Amino acid sequence: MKVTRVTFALCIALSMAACSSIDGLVAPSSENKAALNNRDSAIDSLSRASSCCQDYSTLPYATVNAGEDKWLPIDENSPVFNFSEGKSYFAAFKLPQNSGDLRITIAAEIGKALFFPSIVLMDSQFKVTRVIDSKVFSYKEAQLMAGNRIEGVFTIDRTYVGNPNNETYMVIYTPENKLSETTTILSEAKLMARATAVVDPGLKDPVIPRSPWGLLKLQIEDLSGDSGKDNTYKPAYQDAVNANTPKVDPTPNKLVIAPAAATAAVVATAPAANQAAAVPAASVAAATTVATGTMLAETEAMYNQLIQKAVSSGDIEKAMALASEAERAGSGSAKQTLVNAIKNSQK
Amino acid sequence: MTAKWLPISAAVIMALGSASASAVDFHGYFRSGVGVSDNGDMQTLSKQKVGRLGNEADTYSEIQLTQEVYNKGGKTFTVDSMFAMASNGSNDWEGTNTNVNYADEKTTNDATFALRQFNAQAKNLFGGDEVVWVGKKYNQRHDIHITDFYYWNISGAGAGVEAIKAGPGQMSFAWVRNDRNSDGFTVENPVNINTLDARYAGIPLWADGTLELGADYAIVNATDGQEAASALYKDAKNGVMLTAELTQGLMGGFNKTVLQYGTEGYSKNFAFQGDGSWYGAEAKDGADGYRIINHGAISMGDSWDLSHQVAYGVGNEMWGGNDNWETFSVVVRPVYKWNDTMKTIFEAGYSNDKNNNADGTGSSTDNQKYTIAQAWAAGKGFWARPELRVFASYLKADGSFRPDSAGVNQDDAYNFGVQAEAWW
Repeated sequence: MKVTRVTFALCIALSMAACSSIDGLVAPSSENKAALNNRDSAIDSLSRASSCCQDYSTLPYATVNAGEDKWLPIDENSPVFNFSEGKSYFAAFKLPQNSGDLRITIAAEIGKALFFPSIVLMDSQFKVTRVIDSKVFSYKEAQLMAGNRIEGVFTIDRTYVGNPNNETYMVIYTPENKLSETTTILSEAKLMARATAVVDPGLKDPVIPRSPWGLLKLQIEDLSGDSGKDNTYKPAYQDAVNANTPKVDPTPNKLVIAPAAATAAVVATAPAANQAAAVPAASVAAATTVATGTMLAETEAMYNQLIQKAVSSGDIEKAMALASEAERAGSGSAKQTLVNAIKNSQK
Repeated sequence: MTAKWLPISAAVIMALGSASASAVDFHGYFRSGVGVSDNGDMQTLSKQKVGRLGNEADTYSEIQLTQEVYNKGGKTFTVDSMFAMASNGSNDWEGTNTNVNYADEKTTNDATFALRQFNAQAKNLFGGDEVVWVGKKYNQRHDIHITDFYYWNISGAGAGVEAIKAGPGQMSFAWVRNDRNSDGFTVENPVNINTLDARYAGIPLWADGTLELGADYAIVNATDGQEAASALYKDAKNGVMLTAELTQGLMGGFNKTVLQYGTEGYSKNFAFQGDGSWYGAEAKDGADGYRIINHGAISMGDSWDLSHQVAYGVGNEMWGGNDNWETFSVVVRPVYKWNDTMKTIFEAGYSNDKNNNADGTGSSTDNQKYTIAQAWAAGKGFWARPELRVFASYLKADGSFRPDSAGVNQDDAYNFGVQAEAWW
């Protein structure tokens, strides 16, 4: 009995000492609590702050690496910029260039207020490729160690390392004109009721206002070797880009339909849901019907190779389809290649 | 050449997108830990009466997997499953062994595994956002968290319709099977009992006040053979249970008042902390009972939470020679939050049971429990989990604890232990 009491006292003492380190493991850790909860000072502070920079190209971009997983407070120490939706505290990053596709997860912790993120992505020339906002970011319920949060996941394409059209810069801000909006989250009791399958005891769901400050978690994963892709942006190419000597397109992100690439490019554009690349219907129609007789030597060689391969594997039907496709796209040698290949295969 | 890659990646993206729509929802619960008392391993006292903190020596877990299998035109089908495991936590390997005590002709299970839920739910089939369910289901269980006391819970294998919009509230109906296999009835020869459950929830009364009303009807369905062979089966009566629950939003929390009245076999639920999921069909003809409960959880400022239970139940003339059985319980649990992750929890519980015989004799039993615990949780709120706790408890109840070296049952016990609890 005596032993039990002593052990108990010892345990309490030890655990009190351990508490400060546990506090640091779970968000929001105490030093960021002010940023997360002091909405009034945040709004007041924003109204007095002035823009740090002239345009996107002069923002202070910090380098981040693939594999990064860190807390990111947005508070009075963050810079301010005049975005189109108003002034906002922000964090700006230069994304890794020589990597596989990047999956980026940004989660804004919900305290007494929340920082609802908008993300601007830009290519290497600081041209905006897309803005990721409330269409992608949504409320995620607290579960185990993860708190209530506003979370969004998107993917940065690195199919062609060195393509100047690749998304290179990322700015995280919150639209000032939407600071009066609120998010209703589920009460803790309701989450518990769902987990244990009992009737919700009936606590009111908290309504959380937006704040110019907040606490974010930034996670960057390199997807090479992984197949998961969310909200991917695929930069479109006018023609083959040589990775060693990239050609800088003066008007990137405009999908220019070269007749040769038209058929394939159109197929690609629609499902990739790429806002930036709008293809005029007329040019598509034209490209699919008219053979102009111009084709890149590389493309022509590729088609010929594919035709030969199809024939040698016995798939004549495919070989013929390839040949007619190549012809439509302007190849002058496809039909002859097909004939030769069939002749050869019969020897 | 480059363009050729685009359709391929696009196809990959589309394929992945369609797969993720059918993700499995993973929910669950567990509690487990280790503890000792001043006389061997932990000794516990009925937690529904005196509170669960520092009064649970078991390991209990539930794993729930739910998958939406169909979603078209606003109609969805969902399959829901849950396995539970319960054991006394005495060893590493706790499996399906049955230990046989030949001398006493008794068996005990090392651990028990149960299929608690397996059902299919169809939502919005008739266009009213209602949910039709068939199978085994936790059916709208009403509980008090600090005591693990379920007071209204018609769960089991059955069928029902939930969330039918009607006026200001929602109606639900269920048919659930709760056979009786003890107290005269046996596991080999149980009596079939079907419970019809009707509820009307969410009736708005005033600011932050809502009312739920419910009626349960237990139908005893003995076979002709059982009725011919035994008076117990023949005389078992159908019973009615009525429930009214008033919920008041209060101080960042809630307060609930529950009134229940029941006849025949339901009488025993009120005397013995039942929830309607079992029906005491063996009760004497004309038995009845009632129960009054007040419970809640509120916040008092930024640092204190308080939850409580007060419950009083009576069962009348439940067996020959019984006048009534009264059970009274009060439990309070104040919580002081040091910061977002650490809190100190106090829990005090007292209960009294009075068994009054028709001839004027009777007995009275008192239980008391006092617990202090230091806890660490992933969040500040009363409900935030997972939580790790170190606890010390003092329990008192005359002659209810293990005997000392002289063979005399002890009147009190101390517990000390560590427990983890999580839900997700």
